[in-house]
Amino acid sequence: MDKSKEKNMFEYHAAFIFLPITKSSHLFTAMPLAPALLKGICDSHGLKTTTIDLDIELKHERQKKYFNTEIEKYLMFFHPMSEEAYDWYHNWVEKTARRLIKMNCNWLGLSLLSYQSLAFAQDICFWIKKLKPTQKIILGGAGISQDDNTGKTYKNNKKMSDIMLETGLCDTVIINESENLLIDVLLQNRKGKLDSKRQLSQAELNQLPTPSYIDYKIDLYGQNESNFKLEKHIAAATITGSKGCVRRCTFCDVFTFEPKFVFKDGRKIADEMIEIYETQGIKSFHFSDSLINGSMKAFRQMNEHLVKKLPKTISYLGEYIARPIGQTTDEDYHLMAEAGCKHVVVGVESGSEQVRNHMKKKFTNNDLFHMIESLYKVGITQQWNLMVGYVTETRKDFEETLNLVQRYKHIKYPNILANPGNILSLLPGTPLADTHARQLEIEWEDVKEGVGMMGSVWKSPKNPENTFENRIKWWLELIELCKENNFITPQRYENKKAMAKMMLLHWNQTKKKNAYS
Amino acid sequence: MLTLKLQIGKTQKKLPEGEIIFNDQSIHRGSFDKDVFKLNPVVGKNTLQISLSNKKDTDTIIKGNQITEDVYVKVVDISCDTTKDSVGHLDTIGNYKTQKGEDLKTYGFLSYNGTYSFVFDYPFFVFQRNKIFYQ
Repeated sequence: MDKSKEKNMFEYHAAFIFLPITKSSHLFTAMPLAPALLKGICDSHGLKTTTIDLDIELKHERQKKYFNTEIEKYLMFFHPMSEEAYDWYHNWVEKTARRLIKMNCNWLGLSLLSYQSLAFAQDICFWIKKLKPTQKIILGGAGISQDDNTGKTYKNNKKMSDIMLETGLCDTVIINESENLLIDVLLQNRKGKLDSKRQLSQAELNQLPTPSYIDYKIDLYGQNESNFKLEKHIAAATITGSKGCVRRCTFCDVFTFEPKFVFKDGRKIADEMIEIYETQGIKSFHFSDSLINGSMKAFRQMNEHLVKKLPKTISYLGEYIARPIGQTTDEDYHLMAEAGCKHVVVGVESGSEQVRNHMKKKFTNNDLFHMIESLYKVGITQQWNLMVGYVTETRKDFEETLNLVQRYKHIKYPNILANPGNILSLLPGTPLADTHARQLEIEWEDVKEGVGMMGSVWKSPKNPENTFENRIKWWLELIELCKENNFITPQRYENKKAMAKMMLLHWNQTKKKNAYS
Repeated sequence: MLTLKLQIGKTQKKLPEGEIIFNDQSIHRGSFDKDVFKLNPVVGKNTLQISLSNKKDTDTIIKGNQITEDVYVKVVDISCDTTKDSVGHLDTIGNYKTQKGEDLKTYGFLSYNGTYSFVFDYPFFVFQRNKIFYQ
């Protein structure tokens, strides 16, 4: 069917919908990139599309409810809810499905950022197909691609993507990057599982159109609660400068879906930000990159271009890698600040060089100290992501992480913010799970579901003091120290402590049960 | 597709008779001479009705205090071919009404003339999270 005929039948060729649930811990509440980029691509092909962020909409509705945490746990881990929470949530999903159907779109494109979008994806697809079986649904994103990338299965030895298709919950699934396949799917109504089986090349990345954020309800992003606020809370656009990562950290699964590091020209990134500012009025940007300084050349170009073309106007934040001293000069730090960099998130992970070397982080303590102090000097705030209980971590290594937090206690919030994220979880597809686990003779504890994240209940005879129980205790110790040094917001402190205590409680209950049985 | 697996109770002279209706479409009528049926579900609510219509009191043959022969239909399983999940909870999702208008509580067992109706959502992995299964 040609484009004009299809346009007559439907109001939109497609609506791109970002699904719950995400837990944002950044400075800005960023508008999601995938639907905005897909809309940008469709705009450039003359197709009428729109974007909806159901994650932020649901967040606003549920945070007023006392059973908010129950809904969160359901969406993240499929935990059962109370009857009241269940009724409220399903009523919301049904109402939303009706609204989406009423928009009269040829396709509804659902974007799943991670596996934490799967519960909602199943529920919304269920309601849409129940109410209108002919409504075409396409699923995409890392959340639905994970099984295909890691070889994991959901049921009956089948991947989640196949189960969703075969049970009729959706019509099409795009594995990994959809940029090159999308237009063909929308215009030819292609069904089934599609996988380009390759990452976008650098040239293709550079040719992508600018994402379009104009259809998001921008007001919703300004009101959202955040762990960290530098200035009046405002909506941010998500932007991509690169895909993949220059490191291959042992615990990280980025490599499974973005095996190569490809990056845009620095001037192109800056031009996109300027265009979004000029046409859509957005001044804050959040990079989706695994690291904004993966290519120092492109990063410098971007900052130089921003300083030259749009001085003192926009602000940005992103994930940042600590590099060996000398690779990032004092001039680079000043340039970043001048270009609008307000905040960086650094995967510090551990204060121990021995642990970081095993992780393949490739920076020394001196490199780290230099970066921390340089960022502080130019007024760029920093968040350190810290991980407890890495497979080779001993008590002595862990104490080096405590020492790192102590070392910088004179630098006050909000200049340094610590995120004592969680204990180590072995993710499928990572070098840690695929290779090192065998070398370290990793075994799995005999526990029921619900003790921790999947993959966190391991033990190794080669590192006997790093037990699940000790990991949780160390984590609690780190959380307390971060609080003492004012490196953590009260909200994050309470959340992390509650999560650690709950995991410890479940662990002890399981141990008791096992002892009786 | 779903697979409906039945257990057919028959005597030397008689097979049970009845009808299987799935989402208002008759998929079997007459003697239950096979025990596996394929059902094509829709996403959302599905209704399966199984009736037994030719049972007589004399069909139940008792020797001593043991039933040695009987005419009945028993739902063994309703499972999804894709996921291999069983719907389970036949007592919760099912309603067995006899011809005499009685509501009987069994686990998928039709031993009196009447209709067993099962109402469930598909896919089962979504249905299994339904609040009706909460303890």
